[in-house]
Amino acid sequence: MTTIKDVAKLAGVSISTVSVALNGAANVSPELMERINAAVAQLDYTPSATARSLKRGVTKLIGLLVADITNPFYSEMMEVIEAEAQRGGYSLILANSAQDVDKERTYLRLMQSHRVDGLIVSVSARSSRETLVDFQRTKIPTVLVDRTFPGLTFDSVLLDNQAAGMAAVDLAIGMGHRRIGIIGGPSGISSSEERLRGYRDALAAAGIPFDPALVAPGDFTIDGGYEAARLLLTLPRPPTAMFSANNSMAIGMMRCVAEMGLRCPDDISVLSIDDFPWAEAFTPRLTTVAQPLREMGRRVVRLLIDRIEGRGEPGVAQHIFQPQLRQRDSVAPPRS
Amino acid sequence: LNSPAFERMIAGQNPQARAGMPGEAAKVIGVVTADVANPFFSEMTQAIEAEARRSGHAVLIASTGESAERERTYLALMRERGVDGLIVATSDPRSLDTLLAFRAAGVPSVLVDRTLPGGAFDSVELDNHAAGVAAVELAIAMGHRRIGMIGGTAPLSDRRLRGYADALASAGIAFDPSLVADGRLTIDGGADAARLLLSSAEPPTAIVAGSNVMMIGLMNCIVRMGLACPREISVVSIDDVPWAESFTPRLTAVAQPVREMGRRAVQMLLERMVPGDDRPAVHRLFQPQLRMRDSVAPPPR
Repeated sequence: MTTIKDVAKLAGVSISTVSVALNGAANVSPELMERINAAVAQLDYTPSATARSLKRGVTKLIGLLVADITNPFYSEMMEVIEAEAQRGGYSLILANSAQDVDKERTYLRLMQSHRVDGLIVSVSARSSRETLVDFQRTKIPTVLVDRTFPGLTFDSVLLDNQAAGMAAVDLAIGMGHRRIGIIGGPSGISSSEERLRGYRDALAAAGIPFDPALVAPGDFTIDGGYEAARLLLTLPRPPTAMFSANNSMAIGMMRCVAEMGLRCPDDISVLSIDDFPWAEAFTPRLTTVAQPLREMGRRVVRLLIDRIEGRGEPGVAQHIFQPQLRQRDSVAPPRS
Repeated sequence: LNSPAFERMIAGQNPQARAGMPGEAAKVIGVVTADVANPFFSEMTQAIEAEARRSGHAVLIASTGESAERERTYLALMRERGVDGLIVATSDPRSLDTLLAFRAAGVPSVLVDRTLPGGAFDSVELDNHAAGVAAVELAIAMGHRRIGMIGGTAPLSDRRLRGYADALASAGIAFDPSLVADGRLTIDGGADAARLLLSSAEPPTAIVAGSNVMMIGLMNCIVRMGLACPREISVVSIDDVPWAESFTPRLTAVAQPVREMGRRAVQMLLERMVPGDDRPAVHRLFQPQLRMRDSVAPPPR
C-alpha cells in the first residue's frame, strides 16, 4: 500500500510537508504543491479517511461544553462521549465553563464560529437559560446533558434526579435514621432542585418533618461540600446520616468527617449521588446512588448524531435514566 | 462549504471574525491531552483554562485516550479549526513532525508532562527522576528493603523507574527486576501489576505506584486481597489525588505542582505567540512535593 512516506520521497519533500499540503492547512508554495499532487497522482495515494475529510475541510465535529472538568462525572462521561462520537465518525472537542456563565456564553459562540456540527451542553447556572434561549436561534443541533430548563427546544439526557434523592434518603431511613442531612447543589439548577425535592418527598413519605437546618448548600465543588458538612456536623443537634448531592461535594464532606475525627459509619453514616472509579479502593467504601453514565453518554451522542444527520424524531426528546444504588459500607444504623 | 471568510478566519487573518465574537477570546489555545478522565490532566486543564482566561484567551480541549491515532486526528483538527497555539501532552513521538510543521506555519506548541525527542519545543515537566527517588527514599527511611514499583510504558515512567533504581542503589539495595511490574497507565493495569507483585513468593513490603490511575488499581487489589494498608503493605503514589485526605488510609503521595505547571505552560505559550519570537526552547522542570500522610508505615515484622 502506498503511504505518505512514498509520496514524500517521490516529491522530494518531508512527510510533514506532504501532510500539511494535503491537509490544506498551511501556506505551501504552488510549485511544491504541484510536485506533491503529481506524486500523489503517480502513486495513486489515498490518504486516510480523517486526512481526506480534513482536505475537504469537512471533519465532522461535535462540541462538548461541561460545567466542571475536574468533576469525575463529567470527565468520565467525556470519555464515553468521545468514544461514541468516534464510532459515529465524529471527533469531539471540549470546553470547560468552570461553572461560569460568562465563559459558557463565550464558549458557545466559539464552538459556533468553529463550525461544530452539533453540541452537547451541561449548563452552569440558573442564568444559563437566557444564553441557551439565544443560542437556539443558531439552529445548531444541541443536546443538553445532566441539567435542563423548562421551555427550551433542545433534546436532553437526564438522570431521574428526584428518584436519586429519594433513593438516598430511603436507604438512610431503612437503616433507622430520622435525622438526615443533605448537602445540596446550587439553587436554580434542575439537578440540584430535583435531588432536593426527592429528599423532601422521601422524608414526607416516611412521616419525618422537614427541618431546614438539615439542608446545607454546597456548590457542587469539593470545598463547598467541606463547608456544608461542617455546617451540618456542628449543629446543636447534628444529623446521624447525611448525603451529598454530587461526587465532588462528597470528597469535601468526607474530608470534613475525617478532620473532625468522626468514624464513618460508626459515628455518622454518609452517602453520595454519583459514583467514583475508586469507590472500592479506600475505607469506608462509599455507598452511592450512581448515574448510569456510560448509557447516558452513549445516548447523548446517538440523539445528537440523529439530529445532525436529519434522522431525529419530531418534537423535543427527553431521555430520563434511573439511578442505581450501590450499597457498600458507609451507611449503618444510627447509634442509639 | 468553506467560504473564503471562513478560510481567513481559520488562518487567523480575519480580525473581524474574532471581533465578531462577543465575550471575546483574543486567542484560542488548543489543549491536546492524553486522558482527561485522569485527575492530573483534568486539574491541569482547569488551571490552563483559568490562566488563559486571565489574559482573555479561550481554551479548546481534546482528549486522545493515549491513542497515537487520535492524537494525530486531534492535532490536525485543532490546526484546521484555527487555534493560535497548542499545549500538548503527547502519547506519540511521531507528533514531532506535525508540531514542527505547525510551528513553521506560525502555530507554536508547549509540551506538558511528556516531551518529544530533540528538545525543540518548550516543555513543562515534573522532575520525574526526583519523584521516583523521593518515593523510594521515603520507603527506605521507614525501614523497607523490598520495595516494588508499578511503572508505565511512556518515557516519563522510564525516568520515574530510573529514580527508583538509583535510590535503591544509593541505599545499597540490589535492584530486583521481579519487583517491577508494568501497570499500563490504567486502573486495571495497576491492579494486575499489584497482584503480580503481591502474590509472588517474596512479596514487597512497600509499593510505589507510578501514577495516580495505577495507584487506584493497586489499592483495589490490596482491598480485594484482604491486606491492610499500611500495616501489611505500604503505598506511595506518584501524583496526588483530590480525595487523598478524605478516606482511609490518607494517601502518602509525591505530588506534582499541577496548577503551577498548567499556569506556567500558558505563560510560556503566550510568550511564544509574540510575533518574531525565536528564542531557544525553554525546559521547565518542576520539583515534586512529598505529602506525608498515612499509607506508609514501617514494614511488618
